[in-house]
Amino acid sequence: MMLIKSNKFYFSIGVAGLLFLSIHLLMGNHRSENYLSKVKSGNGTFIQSKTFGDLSFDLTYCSPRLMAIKQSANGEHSSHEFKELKRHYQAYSNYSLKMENLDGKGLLKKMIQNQAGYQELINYLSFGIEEDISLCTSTDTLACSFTHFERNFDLAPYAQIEIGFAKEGIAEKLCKEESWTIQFDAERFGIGMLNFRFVAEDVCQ
Amino acid sequence: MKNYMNYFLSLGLLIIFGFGFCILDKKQSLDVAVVDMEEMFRSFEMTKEVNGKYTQLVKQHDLKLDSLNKVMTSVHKDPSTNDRVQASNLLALKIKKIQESKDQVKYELEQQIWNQLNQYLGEFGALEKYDLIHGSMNGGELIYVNSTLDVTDEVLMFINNKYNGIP
Repeated sequence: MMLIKSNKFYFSIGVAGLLFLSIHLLMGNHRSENYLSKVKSGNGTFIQSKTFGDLSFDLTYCSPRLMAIKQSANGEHSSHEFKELKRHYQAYSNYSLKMENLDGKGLLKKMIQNQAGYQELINYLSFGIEEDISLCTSTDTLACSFTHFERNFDLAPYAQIEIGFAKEGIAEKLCKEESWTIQFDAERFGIGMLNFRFVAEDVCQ
Repeated sequence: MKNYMNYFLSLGLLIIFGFGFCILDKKQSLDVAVVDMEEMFRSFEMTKEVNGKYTQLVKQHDLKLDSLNKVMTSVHKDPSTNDRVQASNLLALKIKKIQESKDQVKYELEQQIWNQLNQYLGEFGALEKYDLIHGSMNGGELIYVNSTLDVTDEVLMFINNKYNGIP
């Protein structure tokens, strides 16, 4: 009788543990989804935009948490690994720059006159653009560490470029500032310097 | 009873006419503002930054021009130089190219400033629901402007914030 009672006790603990674990996992997923939708709809906070005529520039701040969520989207990472990923991305400040032709036609073709110009523009977007981007805080100006141009062969009316600034603990340091600015010298687009300001209070929670 | 009916009818008509006048009056009065474009261009933060950039470029160009001028003078003075005319033509061409590139850079930079300025001005007008914003160049084209219509300071604050990415 004692044995049955004790088995029942352990069984209940096991069920409760499993329930707790699944609720925790579900809540975790839910929280990630909430965070993703918060970023996607974050116009004026996570996403800073500027429009000039038919040309729009959207810069999205990809926080360490967002990068970790994206990386572990297939669910193969445990919560410990997720934390490790997040810690790894603390060394970077990542952004995604989307330049779009609002009249719906290919962006690159809109900007060039001939094939040589097209190739030159591709080279600029792949390599040269790095020199035109910097991150400014109240005390420092950081040069861009890397960019990655996602080619779509002008099938879409936009060009997307991933931007990164690498420095130990930069994400944490930026969050201690009131705000910081990403400067992009859009001279190539006939517009000149564009400032995208991110407020720590809006994007660091 | 009939008197009362007439009284209410008149009152109703009066109210309807009143509303009609109000609507018509609102449609006729435009929300107009005036901005001093010269002041706007001068005090726009981008202009100050671009001026700094341009001054540096001009310095580089001037250095090149100076050294080319020196070479040209020595070519003219040196009687042993063969093909003096050809050399001085070549130098003159180089000097002309540098001067042209200086002018081109100035034009492009000014164009960038106007592109941003016009965009932010448009955004200001739409946000503040103006029907018309008149850009005056040092008040030249306008004979009289009521000072309450001058929104230059307000616009300046708006465009500088926009330029710096402050919503």
